[in-house]
Amino acid sequence: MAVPKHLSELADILGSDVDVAILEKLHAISKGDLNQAINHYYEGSYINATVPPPPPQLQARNGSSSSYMFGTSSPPRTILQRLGSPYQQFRNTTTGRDNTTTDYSTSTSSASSMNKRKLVEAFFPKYLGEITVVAYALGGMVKVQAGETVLFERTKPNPQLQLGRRKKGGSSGSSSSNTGWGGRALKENNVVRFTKETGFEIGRLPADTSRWVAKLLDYGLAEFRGTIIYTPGALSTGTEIILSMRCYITAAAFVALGATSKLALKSKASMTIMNESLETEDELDLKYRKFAVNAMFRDLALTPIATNSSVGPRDRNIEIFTSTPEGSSSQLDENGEEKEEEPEVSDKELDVLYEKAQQHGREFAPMDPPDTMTYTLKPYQRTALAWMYDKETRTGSENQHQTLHPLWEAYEFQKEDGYEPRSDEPKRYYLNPYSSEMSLEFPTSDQVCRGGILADEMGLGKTIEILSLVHTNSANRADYATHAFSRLTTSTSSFSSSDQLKRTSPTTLIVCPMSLLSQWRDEAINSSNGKLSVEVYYGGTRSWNDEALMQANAPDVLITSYGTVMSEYSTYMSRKDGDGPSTLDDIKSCNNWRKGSALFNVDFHRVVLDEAHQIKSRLTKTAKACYAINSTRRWVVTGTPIQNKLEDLFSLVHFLRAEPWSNFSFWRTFITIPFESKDKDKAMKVITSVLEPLVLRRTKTTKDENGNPIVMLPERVIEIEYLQFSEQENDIYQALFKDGKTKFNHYCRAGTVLKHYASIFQLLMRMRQVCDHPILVVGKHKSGGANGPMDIKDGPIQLEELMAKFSGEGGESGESFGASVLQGLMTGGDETSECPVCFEDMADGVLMPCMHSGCRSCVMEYLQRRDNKGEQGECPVCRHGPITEVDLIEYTTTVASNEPNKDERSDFVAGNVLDFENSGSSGSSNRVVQIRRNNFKSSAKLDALMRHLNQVRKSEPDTKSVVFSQFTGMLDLAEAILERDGFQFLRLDGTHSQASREKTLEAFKAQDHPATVILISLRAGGVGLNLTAASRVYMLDPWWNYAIESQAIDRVHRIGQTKPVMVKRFIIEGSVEEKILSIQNRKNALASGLGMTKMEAQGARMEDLQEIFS
Amino acid sequence: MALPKRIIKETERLLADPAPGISAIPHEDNLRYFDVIIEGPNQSPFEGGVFKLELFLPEDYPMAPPKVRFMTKIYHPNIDKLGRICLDILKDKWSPALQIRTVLLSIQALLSSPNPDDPLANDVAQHWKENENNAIQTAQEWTRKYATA
Repeated sequence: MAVPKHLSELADILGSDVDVAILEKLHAISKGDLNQAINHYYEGSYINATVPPPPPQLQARNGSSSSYMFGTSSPPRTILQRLGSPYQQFRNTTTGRDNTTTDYSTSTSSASSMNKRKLVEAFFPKYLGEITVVAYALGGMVKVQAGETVLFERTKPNPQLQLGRRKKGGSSGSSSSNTGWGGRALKENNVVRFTKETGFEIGRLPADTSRWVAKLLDYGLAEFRGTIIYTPGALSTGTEIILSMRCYITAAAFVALGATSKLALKSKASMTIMNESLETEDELDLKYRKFAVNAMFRDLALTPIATNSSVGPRDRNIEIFTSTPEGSSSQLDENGEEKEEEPEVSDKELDVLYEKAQQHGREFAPMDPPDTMTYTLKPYQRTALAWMYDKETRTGSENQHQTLHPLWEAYEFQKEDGYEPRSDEPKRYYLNPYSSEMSLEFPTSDQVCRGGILADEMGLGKTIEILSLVHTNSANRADYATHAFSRLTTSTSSFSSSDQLKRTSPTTLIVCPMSLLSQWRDEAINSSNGKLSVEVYYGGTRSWNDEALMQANAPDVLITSYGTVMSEYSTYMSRKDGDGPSTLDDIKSCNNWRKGSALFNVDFHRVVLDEAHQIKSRLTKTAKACYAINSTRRWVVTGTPIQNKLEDLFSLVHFLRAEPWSNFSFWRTFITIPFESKDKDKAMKVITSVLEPLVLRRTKTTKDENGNPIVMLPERVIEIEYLQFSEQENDIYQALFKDGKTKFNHYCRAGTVLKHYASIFQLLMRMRQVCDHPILVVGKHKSGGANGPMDIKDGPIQLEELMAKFSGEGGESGESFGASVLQGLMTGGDETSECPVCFEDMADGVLMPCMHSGCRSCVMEYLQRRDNKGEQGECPVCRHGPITEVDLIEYTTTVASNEPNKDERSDFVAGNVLDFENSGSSGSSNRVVQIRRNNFKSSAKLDALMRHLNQVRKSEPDTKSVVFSQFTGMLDLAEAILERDGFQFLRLDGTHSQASREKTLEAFKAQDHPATVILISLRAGGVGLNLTAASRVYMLDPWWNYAIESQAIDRVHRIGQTKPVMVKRFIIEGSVEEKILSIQNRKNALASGLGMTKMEAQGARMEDLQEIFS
Repeated sequence: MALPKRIIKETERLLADPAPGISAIPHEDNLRYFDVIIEGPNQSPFEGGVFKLELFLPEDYPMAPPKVRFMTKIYHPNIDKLGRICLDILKDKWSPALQIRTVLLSIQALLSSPNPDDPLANDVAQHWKENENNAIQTAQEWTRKYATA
């Protein structure tokens, strides 16, 4: 039998075989003193002791238990004032709301709410229904008879224990507190006792009833009045008593609860510790409440007189209760703890999901943007505009206003015996079973989501589509200030509501990743020929405050980054925190919190989240910050609305405030839980119906009505180029591989693979790096020559140094020869162009200290041969020696086709030292000679890269190339080798500031810019970049998940690309890279979707590792 | 295996611009194999003689030196009975910057200045050291006997 919480300590001491009734009595006669109780027990004095009946009023005050006396003089308000510390938050919320002019229903205008409130207070508590309960008696001390009225009493949860539980939940994550429903449910105090009107205890309600009754009493949502229907004459412990319980709903139940986020907001304000789990505590409260209300409705057998048919009839027993405490253990943690285990959505399922969304939009006739838009839209973009315009402007028809909100159900108040309702009393009430909100007003489905998810595949021009919408449906500046926006949502925006004026702005706010700020700005400006005013709200340029944004001259488009939104939200929240703990004041000082926050203080004309999958996790600060942005028109733009979980989509829908799906418990009930269980098909059906009206998605392969692809992109060829290690590289790789294999096998045998993931992945990482270049792993000191440690950056040498060398040692002849060689390099004389060894033109020549030159490869081969024979290196021409590799000076001759400004160019030729220019020649073909010391060791990958780049430079000098690698170290090496060969290049990686990113991308795009190569770290270049200026892509190393590579490639192969795109993926044969390829090809590969982060966090599958180390 | 560009170029240049007193013509069926004729240098014991040699470019030429052998009998301290030549650039002093032309010029020069201190044919070298005039006479005789058409 369940031992109530307040007795559990006693039970622990006395042993579990002691009857609960005895414990209860001990507790009562000792007034809760543990020592006394124990004494009473062992003395046996408790048997004859009588329980002191504490006066009810005292009880109510002492906090250990309280009674609810319906029909006494105590008004409902006192119930609200009954504060138990664990429920303080909730209570504060409701009292706070009760004391201000808050809505009693979902859609009340503030003007009428005062009257309503009065009415409501007189009206409640209102009879809902009656049930018959078989309760049981606790002992034989009391005599009762049929017809007697009984009171219901809650034993307060022990505040200290409760607090302890809270703390634990707060520090170690909310999961521990949630276990209260499962393993610790037995200790959860849900006991409801009933007493005589004098306070004498008779017995308890059965567990299944008391569970919800207790919660309703705790939350002050309902009151109960009991009558004994039947009782056997003599009561003994466990005797069944049949009770009739009348349930009365209190005014508190009709207080608009608001959405989860609002509750969270409130609690955060007065809680000192801010962390994620606090919110889930509140969600937990919500869940309890939801459960209790629904259970009451079930047990009272109340049936709705109307529901919204679009949702379909609801089987409350199944659907609501799957997420209740009684559910199986897998449903215990509704509050997100389960997220990690939530099954991922397979590609096939995604295809099904999107299929409908892809059909969508065809029924809309293409629409042209106004003349202010300078771009010509493609047909499918015009369709998108029509669809978006329709979503924004569609005002609900009259009929829609009469439709019941899909989340709500209508009920009729039942007649209570002996009570004649006044004529002005409400006859109906409405329940939202998903949030347990109740209302007396008709909840309409007026809250149409004005917006949606624009999920066109990357490259289809989502930016332009959004901009066309900005052009087409702009705010009417003449009347925006006076225009009263109808409130579109019940929940998140409502804390801006009530007595406060709407603070509307004509601005469209665009939130995007930092790297895209400039792209948005440029596109917005270019699209309008300057007719749109565009401002960036980022970093130091946050010159707009809330007031300015509400002026008529506010910018049309304000672009900001997720980071900015998040940090401003944090400031905004902390300011609110500083306002002190009083909740009432909090509400009143609402304006103060908001003051100065340009983003949260304003109702934007429109808000657009670009790359919106950034908020896919609803618990992140960024996501919460985005939810808090107010706007009537809400759009999310993303190529991947579902990255791998259905709940990714929830966050987007929640941002859109698309009722009913933006309600988390509704979402879980209808989508997540069925999807997790066997009922996938049903979930898919539901989610398709969610997506259908919200999402527009087209892909590159989508066909128009004539069956032609909507976009014609140039061809794209992706080739894998298998490369061989050099002998040296292979030695290093094999050593690493053997080491890794040994360790892995050791872990396998010991069964500790999981424990050693970190080190295994480090091994893997090293192996992958060696495939790029051994120096990434071996370090910089092994391959240095006589000149000490090799520094790849130390390539450049000074002209003076070179000249000094010759004047110092060579004597006249040497000097003149050296000079003539240099002269020859400059003029491009024929002698210097042929290698003395292979007789070929020297593409990559080296100068020896004697100023003889040769192909790098020829000279190196010769030196290597001599080395093999144990001989010192020497010049093949003059036998000057000894020469080692580091003595070689690389030079590259290129014919510059353009003649850029010299100053400008030197900006970009990083590390370019000797820049000879023959300005004497005609200018159209400038000969540029670069000389650098050859202390750089290449690798198979780099050689292959340079082979391709050199080839392309020769055959198509204008072609630009993108080089991706996931290792910035590799990019450093690529830089060095590009310098060596005289390439002009740019670089983009995570270390670049926004400003320099912009400049870099701009430069790469510019036709007259000399850089033909851009080096990008795979992670930095994955999102949003537009690299259509290039038509060659080189992937230096494979990523675990091909999707990431593919996304990077799509940065080049996207709309705007005019040339065929050639992609080379370099793979070292027989290395870990080949294994990665095969893992990539497998379905449900490790780390699908998330790549390394996921992999590191949760671990790759064993078989993948075993394959790698096989 | 395809012929390296270098060999083709060298051959072309040898044919187009032969060194004085030297000719080298590749075999049609094996372009790495050359029939070489070197005229005995003036003021040398081999003046008036026409010496046939064979020259072969090995697989790793020019990293490895060509193999060269006198086909015509010659009385020379650095060339043995089998026609093998003792010349440093054909052995350890080889450099890939050397060519067929330079090798043959070196051999021609060797004919002008025999070096008995680094002999290959010991008896000839001995003879040369003990009685140079007599040795030169023998060389002239051999040249008349074997190296004149």
